[in-house]
Amino acid sequence: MTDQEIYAGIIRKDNATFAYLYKEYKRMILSMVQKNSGNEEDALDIFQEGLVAMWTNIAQGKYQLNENTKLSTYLYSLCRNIWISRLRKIKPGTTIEIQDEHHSHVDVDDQEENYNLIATLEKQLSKLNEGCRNLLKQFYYEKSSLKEIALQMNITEKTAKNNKYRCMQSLRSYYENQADDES
Amino acid sequence: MKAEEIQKIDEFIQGEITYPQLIAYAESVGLTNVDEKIEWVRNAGIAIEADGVRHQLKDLIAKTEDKGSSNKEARVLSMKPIRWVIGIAASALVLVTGYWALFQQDGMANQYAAYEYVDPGLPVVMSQSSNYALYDALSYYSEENYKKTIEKLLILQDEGESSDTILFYLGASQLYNQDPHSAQTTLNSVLEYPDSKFIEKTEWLLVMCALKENDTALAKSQLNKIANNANHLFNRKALDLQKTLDQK
Repeated sequence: MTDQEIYAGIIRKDNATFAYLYKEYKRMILSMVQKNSGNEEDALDIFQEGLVAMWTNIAQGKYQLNENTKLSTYLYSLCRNIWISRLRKIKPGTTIEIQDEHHSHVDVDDQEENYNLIATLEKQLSKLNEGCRNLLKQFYYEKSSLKEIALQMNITEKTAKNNKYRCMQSLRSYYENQADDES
Repeated sequence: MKAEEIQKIDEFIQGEITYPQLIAYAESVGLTNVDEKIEWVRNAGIAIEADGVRHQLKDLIAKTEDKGSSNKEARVLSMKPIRWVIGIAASALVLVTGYWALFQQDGMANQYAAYEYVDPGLPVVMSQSSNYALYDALSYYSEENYKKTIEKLLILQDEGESSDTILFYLGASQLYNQDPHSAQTTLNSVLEYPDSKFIEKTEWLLVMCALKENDTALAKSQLNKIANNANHLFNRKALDLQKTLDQK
């Protein structure tokens, strides 16, 4: 697959594209994590996290294809950064130096803050009740219309709209409370 | 923010209205800090989608790892005597080919899975049903026993019963029972009932039939009608699928 095909596949959340990335680059991430105090389970987790970060940054327009950086280098850099952050949490106060002489990487530090914001919001999602999570997933991930959601849930379209509003407000309030707790 | 305001911001994010239109709306209802609110709704939407992507990847990695362990097993067995080696090599080849085929399948199958709609069926209460045979068939439908539903509905048709309800659930069952060709014929008959409450669902299922049949041209032409009708039940999905198919 070309980088352009992969990029388009990621935008449309195409399973075959994700499978291709997994097949092609799993070993690269596995090697990086295992050489730097991690095991296979850590590597799979980091790889998944890296892919979510890549999807997020592409979906937000924070990363665009360019001639200078291959997508595999970008994915590697994201996974590398995520692993460094993870190691910092495991071993606070120590200097983390990653051994990756075989792979080039690019600076993705400027995207870390943005990805962390999305990851924090994602964590707050789990605090919502199942009905809310299901409704929001149908609307934003599955791209169902409110009319369709209403039909599936056996409620009126107006109720679906009001429920969606309440769920979004709850998400916002969980997010703000969490931010207050941290400050 | 009110429900209507979130709705408008969503419409703007999805490109259904322009920024000046959103600003005009905001001014009419006294909505302030519009950019900040757009940012919030956009980030929340992305986080919800990211959560969906995470689950999608979890499933994919779990499936792939399972396949990987099957392959490892085949490699260990290949240390057996030569006559076994040939057989095992053939099995391994089948495994590898299967694995490869799973992920190299034409994207149409993926598109079908991504946009599949399974109608939940009618909330039929037996005491309220004037037609026991139809009730019986739809009970199998709600249990997802599509083979039995097809059998029961075909008997009803043979007895001369015909309605958009029978045709819709027969067509839907044929589709879910992996027979998109028959489903297409049956579902097209639903369209002969222009006032049917099943029209919009039928139109979407016909798109799904075309995807199942790997007929991109037909899928695209059927999608146009849905995508051009903003009030269609499946309008959002159609617009999204249209973009996806155009990228191929």
